[in-house]
Amino acid sequence: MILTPLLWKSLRDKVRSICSWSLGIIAMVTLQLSVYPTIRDSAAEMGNLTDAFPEAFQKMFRMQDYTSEVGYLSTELFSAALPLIFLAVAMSWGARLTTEEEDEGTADLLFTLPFSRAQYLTTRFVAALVVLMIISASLFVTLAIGTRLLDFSLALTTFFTGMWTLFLLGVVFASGAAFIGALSGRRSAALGSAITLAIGFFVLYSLAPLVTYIEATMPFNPLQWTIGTQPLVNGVHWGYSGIALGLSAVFVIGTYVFFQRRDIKA
Amino acid sequence: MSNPTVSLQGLTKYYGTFLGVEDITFDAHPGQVLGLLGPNGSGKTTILRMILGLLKITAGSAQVFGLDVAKASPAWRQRVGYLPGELSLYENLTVQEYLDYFQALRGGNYRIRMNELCERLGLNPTKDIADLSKGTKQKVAVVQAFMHEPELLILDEPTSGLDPIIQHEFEEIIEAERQRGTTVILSSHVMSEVERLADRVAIITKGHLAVTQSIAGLKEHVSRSLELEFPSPQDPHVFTDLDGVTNVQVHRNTVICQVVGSENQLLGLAVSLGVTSIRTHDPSLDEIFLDIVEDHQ
Repeated sequence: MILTPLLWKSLRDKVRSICSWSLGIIAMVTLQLSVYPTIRDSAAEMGNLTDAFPEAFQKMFRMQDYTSEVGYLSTELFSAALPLIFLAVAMSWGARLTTEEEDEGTADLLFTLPFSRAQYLTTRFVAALVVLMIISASLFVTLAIGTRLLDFSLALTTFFTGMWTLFLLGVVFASGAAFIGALSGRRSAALGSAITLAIGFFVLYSLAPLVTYIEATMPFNPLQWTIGTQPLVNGVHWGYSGIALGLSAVFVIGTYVFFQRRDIKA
Repeated sequence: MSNPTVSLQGLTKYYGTFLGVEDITFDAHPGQVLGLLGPNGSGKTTILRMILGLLKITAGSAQVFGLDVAKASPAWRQRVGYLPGELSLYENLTVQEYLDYFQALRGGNYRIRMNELCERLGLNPTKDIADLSKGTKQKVAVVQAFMHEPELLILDEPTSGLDPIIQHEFEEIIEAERQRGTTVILSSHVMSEVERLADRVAIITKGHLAVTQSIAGLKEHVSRSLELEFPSPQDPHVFTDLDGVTNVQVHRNTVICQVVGSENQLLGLAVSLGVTSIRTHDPSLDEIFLDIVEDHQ
């Protein structure tokens, strides 16, 4: 059962941060969309320009078909900028989920109230999902309105697919950070480990098109399961989505198990 | 005697290989204030945090209201008020918001008692917690612990940071709680406070329970000093032969000695020798505490 006062407080405490991330996404997407008509109007020149980029560079930034609507959005928004924002928000909320009250020294009073640690975790997981939904919705609405105003021909389902993929990426890393927090009880350890893993996965994901043996690791890379499926072009890859959700479920179950078994730090 | 509110049986906590506390056994009953005493790091807070389920129990058991805290659903904590030794409050809230938050999480309406306690402790609910002094934050935590009229109060250094007037007010609140039948477990370094409030004390040294007894019982087992005035000089050997009498010193007509246990034999002899005045020095809890801790070092 969800603890409504805790849910509201979790969101209220970080309302400025949530608004900042949402506004940041809105501003970035708006800016990138506003540039596209210029790219579209000079498609031939831009095509020649991007063709002139080194092949390795094109592969790293997934710059195939850069001047098309979907190619432009994939390269400029969905290959790096938006995933990094979603990762930052998700890991921050995930790590905080299992460590915040102890780090702030408020756990002793909170965890002697008449609810279980499982109820606490459920509520905090819901809060993290709500935050990911808010920034996902900000992205979707901005794309939907912006592309209509700029006469894009893409369907809303394309944006929904992109949003879902980023949301899923956030869920994997939020639950992963929460799991490390449940094990360690330290936000610095949870956040530090999650960031290190995210950077590692990102580097591997970027280099994969260039190095054969790194490409072989892609089936094990959460970035490949999500943005690597080129969701704007190919739609949702349900197999990889299932793997991402499955791993998240393992992290969530692990978080419940370890958080309930360990001592609460004073 | 009524069923104990808190019953610890062989309660043990190890942090990895480090001993927290070992084989702690005591009960606390309704309407009783149990003082938990011990040097810094002796394990008092560890015991309290295990009772509350914040720390996992390595061995033994802790029962509260007849429920095993390691297995019971958390509803029993509705009947508990807790004041931690290390206090941190949500700095972004006002006092009222903070108390309302805890009220909401407890799922009740304690507004009348909350207001009454705030008034009694001189607490302004509209103030931001971030602007409060340490002592005033302690008052907020006191209101939080008492506002739902719990049946068990677990208080870890409750008067830390409170001024003497509020300390006195706090002691009156505790006394009223005792009268109401609340069980209070009070960990404190202020011996005078424990001596005034506690019915029984449990003394913890190096993670072990040294003694658990009423304060009167403790005093009986610790040597007390007696000064007896006689009309004429006395032979010290007459006194040294008595049970429990030691360190007999005679200065002219005055006999000074230490007594452990009953004083009846000594007083009977003194009366028969025509004693003209008797002065006793009862040991304070402070002295008893130091005596016991030194014995267990």
